[in-house]
Amino acid sequence: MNPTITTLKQAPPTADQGAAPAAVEDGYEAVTGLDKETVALKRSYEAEVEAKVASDYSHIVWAYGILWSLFCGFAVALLVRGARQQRDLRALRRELDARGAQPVDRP
Amino acid sequence: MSSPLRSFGRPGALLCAALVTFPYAVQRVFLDTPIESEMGTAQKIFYFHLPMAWGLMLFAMISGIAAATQLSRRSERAEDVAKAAGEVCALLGAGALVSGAIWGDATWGTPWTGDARLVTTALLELVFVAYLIVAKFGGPMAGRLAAALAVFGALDVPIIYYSVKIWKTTHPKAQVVQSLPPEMWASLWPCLFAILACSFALFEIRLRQERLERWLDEAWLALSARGAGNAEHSVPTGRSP
Repeated sequence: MNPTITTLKQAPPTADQGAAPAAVEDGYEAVTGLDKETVALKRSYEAEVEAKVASDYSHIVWAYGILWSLFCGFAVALLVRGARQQRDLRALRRELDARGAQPVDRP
Repeated sequence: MSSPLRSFGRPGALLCAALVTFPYAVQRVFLDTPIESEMGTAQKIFYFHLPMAWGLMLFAMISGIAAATQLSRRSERAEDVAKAAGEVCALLGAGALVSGAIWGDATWGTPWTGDARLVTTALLELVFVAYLIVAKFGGPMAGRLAAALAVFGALDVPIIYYSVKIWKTTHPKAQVVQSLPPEMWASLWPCLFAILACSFALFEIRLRQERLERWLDEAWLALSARGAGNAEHSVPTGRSP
């Protein structure tokens, strides 16, 4: 455990706790809970974890989004190039037909 | 006449396999793999970052070997392979560098360090981008210069691999991958398969385009020569190489 972190047991008693002894009086047990400092400490830990998780999610979304975008962009570039080649091939066939040459086999 | 499905051939089958595997891999990474204790959820970038880095090195070697063959044997087929592999290499390199920078920002607090692994990988990416630019815009005489660049890029691959062993780096060592727990390996395999299947499919499609491009150029040249009355040129009537 990190020695710098103050735990519930190590937390110094607050003014309220110091005044009210946690002993059984008249058959009733005093209600003991988390003191304000411990609650604040826990809240700060929770906020820290929450910020880390949110940051991680944001990084993951960016990383995966960019990766898929790169692949999609490359695939689109291939499609565009393929379409241009098909147009070129059709133009070649038309040219050959116009000249009465032997038709080109489909590559 | 061949059916449309048959015309897709091997790249189509690889793309279909990748399309099926990608959702499964992502589902495994996010739902079936434990969160890494030190880096937290951001470590899940690793499952696609590593396959991209491995793919980058693989395609750099393919391109470099093909370029060396092109230089030694003046092979046009080898030149086509080198160009197609070079493009996929640049794609995977961009993916590995960007995902690595984002992961580094999440865990190291900075997207870039002067780390040997990062610098050598960025160098490889830049070399292959330069190779593609020279090959495309360098004119007909630049093919050999471009091929030399691809060979130089391939020589960088072993340096990338051994950089974490030779120098002290922020980037994790290669042993980290070997020490992964079985559940993380079980998620890494489908990611690796999906990335490599997709990459090889794109490579083969690009290779076919490169060969068709060369065939079309020859056909147009032969046609224009025939139009000019040069009987030595004939329009290629066979299938493209």
